Amino acid sequence: MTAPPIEIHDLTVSYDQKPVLWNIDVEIPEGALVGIIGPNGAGKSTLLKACMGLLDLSSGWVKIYGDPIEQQRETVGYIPQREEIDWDFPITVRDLVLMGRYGHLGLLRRPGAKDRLVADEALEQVGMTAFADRQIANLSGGQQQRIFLARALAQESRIYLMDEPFAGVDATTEKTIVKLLEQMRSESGTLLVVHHDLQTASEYFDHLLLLNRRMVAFGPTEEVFTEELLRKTYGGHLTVLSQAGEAIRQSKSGKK
Amino acid sequence: MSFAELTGEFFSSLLGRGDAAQATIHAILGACLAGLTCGALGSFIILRRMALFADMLGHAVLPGVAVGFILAGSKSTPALLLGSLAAGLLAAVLTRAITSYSPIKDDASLGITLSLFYAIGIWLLSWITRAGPELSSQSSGLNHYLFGNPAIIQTVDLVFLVSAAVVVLLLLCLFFKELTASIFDPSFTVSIGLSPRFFDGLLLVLLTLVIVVSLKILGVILVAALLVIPPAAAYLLTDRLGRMVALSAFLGALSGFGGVYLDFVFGIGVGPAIVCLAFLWLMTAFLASPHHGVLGRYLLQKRLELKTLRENLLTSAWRIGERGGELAAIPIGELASERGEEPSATRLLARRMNGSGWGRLENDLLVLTSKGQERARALMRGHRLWEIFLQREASLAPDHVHAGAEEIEHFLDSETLRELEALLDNPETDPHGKKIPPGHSEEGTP
Repeated sequence: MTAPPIEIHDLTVSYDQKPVLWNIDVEIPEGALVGIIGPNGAGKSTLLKACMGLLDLSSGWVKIYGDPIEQQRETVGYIPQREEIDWDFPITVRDLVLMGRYGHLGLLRRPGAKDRLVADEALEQVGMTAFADRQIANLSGGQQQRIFLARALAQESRIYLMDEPFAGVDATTEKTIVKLLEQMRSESGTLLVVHHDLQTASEYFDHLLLLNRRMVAFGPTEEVFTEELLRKTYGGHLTVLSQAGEAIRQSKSGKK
Repeated sequence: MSFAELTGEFFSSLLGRGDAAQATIHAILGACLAGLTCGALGSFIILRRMALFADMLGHAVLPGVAVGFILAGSKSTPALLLGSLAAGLLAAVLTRAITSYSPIKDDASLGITLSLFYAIGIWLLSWITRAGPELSSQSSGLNHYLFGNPAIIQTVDLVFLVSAAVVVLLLLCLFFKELTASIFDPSFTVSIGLSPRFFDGLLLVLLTLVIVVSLKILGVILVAALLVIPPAAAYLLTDRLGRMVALSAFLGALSGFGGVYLDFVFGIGVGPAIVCLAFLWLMTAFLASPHHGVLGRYLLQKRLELKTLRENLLTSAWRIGERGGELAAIPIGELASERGEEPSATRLLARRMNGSGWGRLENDLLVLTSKGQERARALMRGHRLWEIFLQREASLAPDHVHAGAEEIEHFLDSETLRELEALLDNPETDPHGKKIPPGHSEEGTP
């Protein structure tokens, strides 16, 4: 049996010694378009960052096709949240998309003609060709999200982890992104997408991962998108976990 | 001597021989090299938000100079450089440790390290002058590290400046794309298997190196200026990192050259002259930059205001034409009553139509060209389509619609107009029952 694209085993992540994700155990199947949903502060972004190796793990591990992420960097493309970026940075749309090729290039090599071609195609796919030479600040929120997607496309990865690609975008961009997600899934493979809108979640994704500090459920959308499970995800029963986390933090840092 | 004579002497001394000429040439080369290197590296520093950190490092190398001197027993340049390098790195580690192991924030931590290291430096320097005669007799000139003095630049200093410039520029070129990514988007950089921490470390080492070799030019207090001001000016002038680095290096070198020259002519001190010149470039960029300049934005706004004013005259004229007036030549009196203002006011406005190509004031008539009449029709069409849109889509009452539409016709482009037409199904009258001028959608605001 081949290893699954993403396998998360007993994952616990803490910020400042306070656990924010508890005992996540899940295997994402090949070709799944997964929406990660849950309330604010549920640890959705944290889960993606943990998968990308951006955070220290308190326990557990994440494997990409059976290997640690460090050995599979080129397999996984990551789209951070739009707010994490300084949009005044002196860089053009095309150069930002070209950044998607850096992983393939390795140290010291400059992007070549082939890389430029891939980047231009990616821009074409998100409908941003006309903006290629603009500085990135002169774009709307939706356009900024689209060039992030173009950068991911230029990475030509098999797995994509996306942090809120739908946040603050206009209706046109939302349609474009939905189409692109479907296309990326059929062409390259597996997508994990943090999503904040329950209304569209069942429509956009074929799998859902319900998250609130711990994993409430994972499975095909029609099985998991039930009132009972959603209430479990968004309901008040889980506040005890955050209280326990706070207690652990206080005892470890010596405060009472 | 007069200003012109001094300038002449400055440039002829560059061609001359002898110690004085050599000192001037050394000073110029040193100041230009320091400006070039600081400018190039500084671009990355200000984008990484390390400007205050650079200022801290500048001050923090002072005890290193003193310790290097004490250990070597003389002002041996390599010893002073090594000492400074060690002190700078130590200060960086201390700053980091304070923020990592306590809730004290970055700025406070920088302030603590800066003043502590600077204090130790001053204390060591004064100890040296009071120490035994063998040490203090060697120590004259150490003060130059405090305030900088390119006049004492020697060949060995130039060798270090050139080496530092080569190392810094080479590494910046080699790691250009990695540095860009790690400053711009650290999370993404980790996700492609690179370590932003490594590149932060690289910037730190290069920064210390550049500061150390530039000390004799600017001194510990002003050295950060060359690392921050020319890059800030370049940042305002361009939207691409590569150009920003090149421009900043150029402005840095220019400040260095100009600083030595101004000092020669006015005797104001090279350091202060360099800083003031750099600030002059910054002010120029602030005022005149094509994208971010205050002047450019002001002119753009004035142009828009003039265009709006002219277009409002056109729509007033169109309304008179609709009631049977002669659109090609409208009496100012009629125009004034249509607009509800004094004829004298309208006359002033109509005079500003001159030069627009749309029309002009002639014999107390507003004479419109065919281009002007065409534009009036297009404006009116956009205005009334927009009114219908507002009424239908935003469900505003007809008597509320007008104010909202008044502004928009100046900005409707042909694409939006086409969308409006499609959406509204090419209506013939507006909410007030006025006829919508026929037209085609290629006629948006140019």
